[in-house]
This record gives sequence, structure tokens and C-alpha cells, in this order.
Amino acid sequence: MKPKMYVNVIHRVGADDTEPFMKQQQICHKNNIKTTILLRPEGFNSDDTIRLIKQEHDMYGDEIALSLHAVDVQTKKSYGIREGKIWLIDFEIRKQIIVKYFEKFFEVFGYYPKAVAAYILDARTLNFIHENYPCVKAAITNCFEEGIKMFAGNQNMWHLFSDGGPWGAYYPSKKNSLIPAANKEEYCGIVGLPHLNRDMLMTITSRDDLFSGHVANVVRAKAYDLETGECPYTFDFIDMWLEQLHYNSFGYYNIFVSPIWMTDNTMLDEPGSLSIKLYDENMEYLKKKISEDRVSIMTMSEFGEWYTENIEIGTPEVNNWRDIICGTDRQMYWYIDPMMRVCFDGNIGGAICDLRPYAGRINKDTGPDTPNLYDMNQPYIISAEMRGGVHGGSLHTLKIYINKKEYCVALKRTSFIAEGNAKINITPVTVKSDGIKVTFESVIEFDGMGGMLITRRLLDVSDENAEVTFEEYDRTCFGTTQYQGDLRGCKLRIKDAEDTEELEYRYGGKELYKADAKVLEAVYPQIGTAIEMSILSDDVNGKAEEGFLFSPFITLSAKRIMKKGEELRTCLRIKRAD
Amino acid sequence: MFENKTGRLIRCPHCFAKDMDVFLLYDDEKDEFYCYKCCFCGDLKKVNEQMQTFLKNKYIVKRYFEKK
Ligand SMILES: [Zn+2]
Repeated sequence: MKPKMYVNVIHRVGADDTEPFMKQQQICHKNNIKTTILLRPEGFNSDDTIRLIKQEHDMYGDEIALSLHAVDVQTKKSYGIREGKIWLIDFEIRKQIIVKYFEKFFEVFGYYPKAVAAYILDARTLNFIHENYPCVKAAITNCFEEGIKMFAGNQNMWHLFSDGGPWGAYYPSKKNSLIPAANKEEYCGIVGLPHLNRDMLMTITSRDDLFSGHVANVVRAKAYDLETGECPYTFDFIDMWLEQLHYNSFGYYNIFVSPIWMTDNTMLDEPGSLSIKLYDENMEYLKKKISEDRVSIMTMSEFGEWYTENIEIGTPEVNNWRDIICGTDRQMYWYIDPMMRVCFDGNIGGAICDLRPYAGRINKDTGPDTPNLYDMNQPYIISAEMRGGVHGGSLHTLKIYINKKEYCVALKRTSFIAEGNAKINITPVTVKSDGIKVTFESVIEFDGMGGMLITRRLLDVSDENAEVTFEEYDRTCFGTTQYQGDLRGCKLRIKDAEDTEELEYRYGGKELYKADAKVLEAVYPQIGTAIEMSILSDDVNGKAEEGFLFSPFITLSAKRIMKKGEELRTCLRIKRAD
Repeated sequence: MFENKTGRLIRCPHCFAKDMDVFLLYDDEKDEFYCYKCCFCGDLKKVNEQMQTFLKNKYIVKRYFEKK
């Protein structure tokens, strides 16, 4: 069977937004697209809203589901709280509010909701919902990468930190709602979904809340023709998501635009009519894709059921994205499995620009009763964006020495050819030094559980007398923001055939070295994570470097003198710190 | 370490507009500069034009105290 993209169109409605909501509904139904209606708690008290959505459910088969995102004023009052965002409320009160809403839902509709949504849901909330309401099949659990840059872009006012999770559908772990479960025992029982699909390149280079399947967000970015109001980007966006079917066995896409964006009552200077027009065009485009048998429309819980029946727990997902809005050829490649999420950037020589370890399974529950408070960002160990990359910051790349002159491959552009969900070939790159040309290629193979086999092959050297050295270079740190985490207590290790040397991190700038190294390791007990670089080639010099306060990283390096046709092979593994 | 063509550092006009110093890299096959942070890409003419347009709009390069 040809892989398909499963699409949820989601409308959220409360008490005072039924008019624009019905506009959205009509646009969808006109195109034979059924929707998932997320009822906001305010809506329980509106007879009009209840009548309307029951009618929509009966006539079009739309699913009525529950929005848990924001607590209604009345409920806040009754609990004496001012916090309105469900994932930030003290858990004891949060549970009572969730029960109240579920029971109210039952009272009104005669059944419990099969899907729920919030901008962020932590693991304990998902576990609680699953234990008490096992009928729930799917939940929107996060806003992909709407963390640091979106915060800065919104006057540092928008506290929505769920960076570092999956971009698509997944089986959330009981231990951490943004980590894909490794097995059945670990799965929380509710399929996790993102709030919107994002532009997987602009998500790194720009604010991803502006570049998503949400047409009004694209208007907010002003990424349309200012004269004609045409927006080719929104169609390319859908097409680029469809492209991902080349690499994965299915695709998931959701459109989740709140009715307010269809009105003039927004922070945009554009009228609501522009967003309505684009929304209409988008739905028509989806209808076309349905007729081409590439898209299938489902409701949220229908998709949850399809997913659990068809996709095995632990299945990796990849995304091979190209720039479709700024006119460059830049490419980003993403991969996720239960142990890590990683992104490679073509503009920096195919280096790893972002790496989130999941192996530590650390607790990221949120609320005033947790140490995390508001911060559900999954820690990175590489973030070129937040902690510098190309010029001495966190990065995983290859360095080449031509007659001892250093050349960082991250200063070259390249592209990726992806094979399924387990392999990428990085297009050959040529570096030049004093008239000598060195060409090499890289292949990355994923093992599905946090391991990456990295092969660097020296294809050609223009001067056979030149000395060419490859250095597999891995520079990490940890944190969830731009500012450094405390690295004291981290460990650096280096092993050869005989013994192991270890160094405890004290910002001393020391190094460990072995002439014939076999394994290098950086251990981050703060996040329960170790990164291990196993050296699979012979005659490799290994070095592990402690950083210092002005340059707080751990650097692992594997260096080998290369002859034409030879390979430097290493295996980079994200594992639980022992 | 910096490999751009002119031998001096050229800052990305888009990142500069966001108060960031990001040095453009140079692609000799396509003869163009590109940014590793944002998606800016173009020849030296484009870099200079965009920088100048931004600066022209940002600053009034005149003596403030002699204006009155
Ligand atoms: Zn830039």
C-alpha cells in the first residue's frame, strides 16, 4: 500500500466565537473534510455552542473532543487560582479540574471525550488521564520548538517551553511526555500529537510559530505576496510534508487554527478575510490531495486508533526538509527514535546542529510543585542555535587537516540523500588548501535506539604527497536555554585496549589522550546521559577535552591519517549514564 | 578559520538587523555568500545593498546637537 498522510483538521470553540468557528466548519465541509471540534470549557455553559457542535457531529461526523489548554474563569475562581494554563497548575488541583471537565463532558454529551488537547501536557497528566479515562486515544501534547526563539519573538511574554520533542505522532513515554516510548511497558496509553506541523528548516533558522500549517501564522510572518494576497508557501508546505512519505511509512499532519484568526480581532494588520481566503484555498488543496489518494482525513481519535493498529512502538521517524520560502537550497535532516532526536544542517557541512538525548528518561513534569516549573524543554547536548556551533560552539562535525592545516567541514555547504528512515548519505564535499583538493563523503546509519554509525570516506586527494588527517569532532554541553548548565560532576573517559582513564569536570581545561583509542565518553549525570564515541577504525588518536568557563564544553575527538579510499568509522551512541 | 572570499569578515545583513554578528561563509562554486544562522544568501552586491538599506533606515547620521 502506498503511504499516505493522515490529516486532522482541528477547530477549537468556546462560547463567544461560534460565528468564525462556523465559518471554518463550512469551509471544511464544503470540501468534504470532517473536523475535530475541541470544546473549550467556557463552551459547556453555552447552549448555543453545545447545540451547534452536536449538530455538526450528527451531520458531518465531526468528532467532539475536549480542550484542556486553558481553564475557564469560573473554575479558576472556585479553586482560588490565577494560573489558567493546565500544565502549569499544581497537580492536585489540576487532577480535580480535569475530572470536572471530563464529567461535565459526559453530562452534556453522554460519553467521555476520546481526544484531548493542550499546548503542553506533561507525563503525569497523560498518565492520570489514561488511568481514569482509558477511552482517550489521542492528545495534543506539545508545540514543536516553540521555545526560546518564540519567547523572544513574543516580547519575552509567551511561556511555552516544549522544545526538543517529536514533530509528528508518537507514543509518549510514561516517564516523560516528549520522549517516544521504547516499548509497550513504557507507553503511556495515549497517542501524542503535535500542535501543528512546522517548517522543519525555519524552526531552526527563524521563529517556527510563524511557519506552520496555520495560515494566519504565515500571514503573521508576512510570507505572502503583499500585492495579490497569494501565498504559494502554504501549498509548498503541504507538498513538503507529502515528500516525507518517501522516507516514512505514513505521515501525520494537523491544521489547528483557532476561530479568532478568521476575524479582524487579531494582532495582525491584515484583515481576517485574508486568513479566511488562505484557509479556504488550503482546504481545497487538501481535497485535491485526497482525490489523488495521498491524503486521508481523520478525526483525532480515529487517527489515534489507526496509529496504534499500524505503527509499531519504537519506529523511528525522519524528516528531510528543504528551504521552500527563502530561495536557498538549504536542507535540514531530522531523525528521532526512543533514545534521541537529532538534526543535521546542510549549510554547515552536514554537521549535527541539534541533538537531544532521551536515554536518561529524565522527569520533565511541569508546575509549581516540580523543580522544572514552566520548563518542559528537553535538554540538548548540541545546540548550534543556542550554544554556538560553527565558530567553536557545540557541534558534531568532521575536521580535515591538509599538511597539518586545519579545515572545518562545517564551513562548507552540502546536501543529503536520505534512504528510508535509517540512513543518510551526505553529498561529497571538496575542501581546498594551498592548491590541494581533498574530496570526501559521509554516510550516517541509524540503529533505531540512539546509535549512529558514521563513516567518512576519503574519495580523492589531488596531491598524493599531501598528508590528510580526518578528525571526527564532537563538542557537547547541556542545557535547555542559551545559558550553560553546571558541568561540574560530568566525566570524561577514554579507553584503549589496556585501560580506561577518567577525568571529572572542574572547568580545568585538561585533556586525556590515547594514541590508539577505542572508546571516548562524555557523561552528563545531571541529565542521566552519556555520549559514547566508539572508534571502529584502527590507528586512531583519541582525545577527550575538558572545557573552561569561557568555553564550557566537552570535546571528544578521533583523529586518523588517511589514504585515498580509506574510511574513518565511528559509532556515536546516546545512552543512559551508568 | 573564516573562509570567505574577500579575506575579511562580512556580516550577515539579516542577522545584523537582529543585533547579531554572524559572519557569512563563501561558496566558491556558486560565487555567493551564505549565512549559517539564517537563510540569507547572495553575492557581495546584495549583501552591501541590504546592509545599506537597513542602516539608512536605522540611523540618522548627523550631529544631534547641531541640528537645533
Ligand atoms: Zn544571517
